[in-house]
Amino acid sequence: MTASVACDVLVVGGGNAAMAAALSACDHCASVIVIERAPKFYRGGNSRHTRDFRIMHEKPTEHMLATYSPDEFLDDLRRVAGGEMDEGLARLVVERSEALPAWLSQQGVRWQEPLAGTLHLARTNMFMLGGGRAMMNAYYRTAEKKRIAIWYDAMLEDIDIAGNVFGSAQVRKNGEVVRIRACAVVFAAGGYEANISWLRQHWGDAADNFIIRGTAYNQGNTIDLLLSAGAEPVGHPQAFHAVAVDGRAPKFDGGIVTRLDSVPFGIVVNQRGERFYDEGEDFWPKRYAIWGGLIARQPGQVAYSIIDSKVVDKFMPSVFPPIVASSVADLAIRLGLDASRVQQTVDTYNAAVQPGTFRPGDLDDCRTVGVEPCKSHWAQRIDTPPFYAYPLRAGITFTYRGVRIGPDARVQLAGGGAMENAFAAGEMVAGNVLRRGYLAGFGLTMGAVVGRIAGEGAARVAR
Amino acid sequence: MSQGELMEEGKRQMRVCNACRYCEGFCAVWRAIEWRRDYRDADLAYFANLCHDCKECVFACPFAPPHEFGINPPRLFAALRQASYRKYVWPGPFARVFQGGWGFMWAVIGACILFSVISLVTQGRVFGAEGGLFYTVLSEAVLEAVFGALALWLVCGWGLGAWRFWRDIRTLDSSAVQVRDILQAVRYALSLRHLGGTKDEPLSRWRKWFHHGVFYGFLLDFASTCLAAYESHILHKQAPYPVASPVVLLGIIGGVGLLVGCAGLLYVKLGVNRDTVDEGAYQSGRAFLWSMLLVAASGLLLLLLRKTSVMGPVLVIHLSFVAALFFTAPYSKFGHFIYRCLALVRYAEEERMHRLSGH
Repeated sequence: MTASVACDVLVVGGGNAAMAAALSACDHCASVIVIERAPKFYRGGNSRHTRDFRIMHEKPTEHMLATYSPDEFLDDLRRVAGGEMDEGLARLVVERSEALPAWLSQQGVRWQEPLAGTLHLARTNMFMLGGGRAMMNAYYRTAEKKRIAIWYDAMLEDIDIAGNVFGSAQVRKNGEVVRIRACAVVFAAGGYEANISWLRQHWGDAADNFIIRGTAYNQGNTIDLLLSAGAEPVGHPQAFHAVAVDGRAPKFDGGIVTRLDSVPFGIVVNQRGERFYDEGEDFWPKRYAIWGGLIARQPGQVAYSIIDSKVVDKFMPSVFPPIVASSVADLAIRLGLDASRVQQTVDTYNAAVQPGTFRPGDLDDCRTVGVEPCKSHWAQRIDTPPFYAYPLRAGITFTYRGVRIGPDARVQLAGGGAMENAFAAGEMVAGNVLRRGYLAGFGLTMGAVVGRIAGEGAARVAR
Repeated sequence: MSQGELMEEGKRQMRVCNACRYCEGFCAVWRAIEWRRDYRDADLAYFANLCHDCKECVFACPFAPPHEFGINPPRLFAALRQASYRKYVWPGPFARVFQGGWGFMWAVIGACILFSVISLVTQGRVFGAEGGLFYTVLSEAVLEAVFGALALWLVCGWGLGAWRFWRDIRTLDSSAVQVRDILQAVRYALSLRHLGGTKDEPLSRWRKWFHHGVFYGFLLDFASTCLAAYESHILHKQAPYPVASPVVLLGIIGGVGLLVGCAGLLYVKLGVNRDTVDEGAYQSGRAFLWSMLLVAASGLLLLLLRKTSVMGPVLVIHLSFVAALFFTAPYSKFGHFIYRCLALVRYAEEERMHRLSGH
């Protein structure tokens, strides 16, 4: 016989949105069980790799400079959204973000002083002291203090939904099946970027060459269960956010250290030894947001950033040492590329470089003329040995596909109407605001805001 | 792990840390790491001694074991500190013999025998000396000779170690140290600014206060000793001094500070996550705490029993603990403050230079 337990609110998932929901439900007098699929060390999903919240504020605060108005915040969102954005939900998240720092501090989250290293975001973003895992530790410490039950190694296997009412969940906990009956449920179990076979449905064999920057536990099974139960989907199943990462990164969970930002300082060639995009088009973060997708569409889903010794110390150090050679041809051979083709690409590029003043902090006037694709800024000849190269792959950060929610975080049904007692938050509802694009710190902000709304709503239903 | 392997492992971990930088708000070590792109062996020794072992970083690190990156700065830095003590200490060849708990115990036994023999030869009275007349057990001249020699040994050992370490951690482009760097380092050291502790380990945040107990307790005891020497040599007032005298009062307060501090730190050690410590460093830290604890406890016991007939043996035991503490000082955890203070001076200097250049 299956063991059975009951609670007011069941929270599926263990990251930022899930814990915001759990703590918020608990503060509204509900008994809460959190089921986290990962073991304790890996708890928190992708939240353990995060670093900052994007916060609206009308006046300077202890941790943030100047002001960041709701309109400016919304404009920033619109800029990356590419015309597809749920304005109502976006405005709600932006407006509620202002209260987050105080609430998070109450949960034990600490903040970093604005520093030079925080990517020049001290006006718009707040950085957790110690990053995402430190934040998750604080969340869990507070949850334990409030006697929220936390189950690790506990995976949702099935949900029992009758009409628009959630009844119970079947959970496999350390290999044993347990049924949890709950008055309300919050789903906040992340995306599906670690589910390679799911990615393969949309990307074919290319999926095998992607690097998953975050947790291996984001398998999307919860999204799958909800969609099967009649939830309305949101976001394109092929859509993900990917950045250029070092090609030698581990398949899963390499996190922030696999990022590589050498692209604007040289050229990038594909397996055929050819350039394929303007390396000097724009600054971080736009550059950061597009290069993963660009590489995902190249043969073998791999590319090579080639620079010379003039610029080797101009970007954040990489965790993997660059490949070094005394000539471009030697470098190409070490990379397993056609040496004469790469040499030709470099020569053509070098010949097209115009004189200018190299200023890595600005959109400078160093550009190429007469080469396709052009390089519009930071174009310097690659001529000073030794030459360096980094292999690049597409590192998937998160996915957009999920379930539609209303402004009260209730799961919407494909046939119209909403679930009565089922709510959703976090990465699995990210597509409700942004279907593409990326705005640093917005994911955590939306996760915590919607998570709090969902947790409070669930507690009210339970009462 | 050999010295070379430890250095390679250290550089590997530092490269991961420098590509991540999430810990930069925690303490000085992370800024010192960020100011560099490549790491020399001496840089690792500098980081390791700058680290106060508060462990905030390892519990915040998404790449700590069991992650395949296996990042574990507290354990790494503890092992590197041990390696740096071995590398820089003078005279080096005895390092293996005198480090750790056994080294201290052998030194205690040796000192005990030495003091007993000296007392016998000089016709002192180990048994039967009364009235707190310490010099009837061991004459003042003997004590001065023995402890003078030990002080010389200790100062030479620490001094040469400090000089070697300092020479190593500086580079050709290091700026000149200014007085304000030293003052800043002193402020860091006296306040234990970087010994924050972590909520992820029980009692961790008490370490700072227990350490203050040990450090300031030791200072008070040292002051008491100096004052006693002054009274004896300059004012020609012989021990025993009354309980209400500054010498004894300082001694009592300092002794209690040491006792509580050492016992507290030993207790905290029991609760640490052993995955985050280097076993050698853990044992050597524990041995040093026990040796300090024994010095303080035997000192207070001596005060309690100084008017009784067992004063002689208790005095010999107390002096043996003190002598052993000093004799093993260049090799024990005792010397850590030298390296840590120098690392703080170097850090203060680097911090000033980077502030000037706007980074």
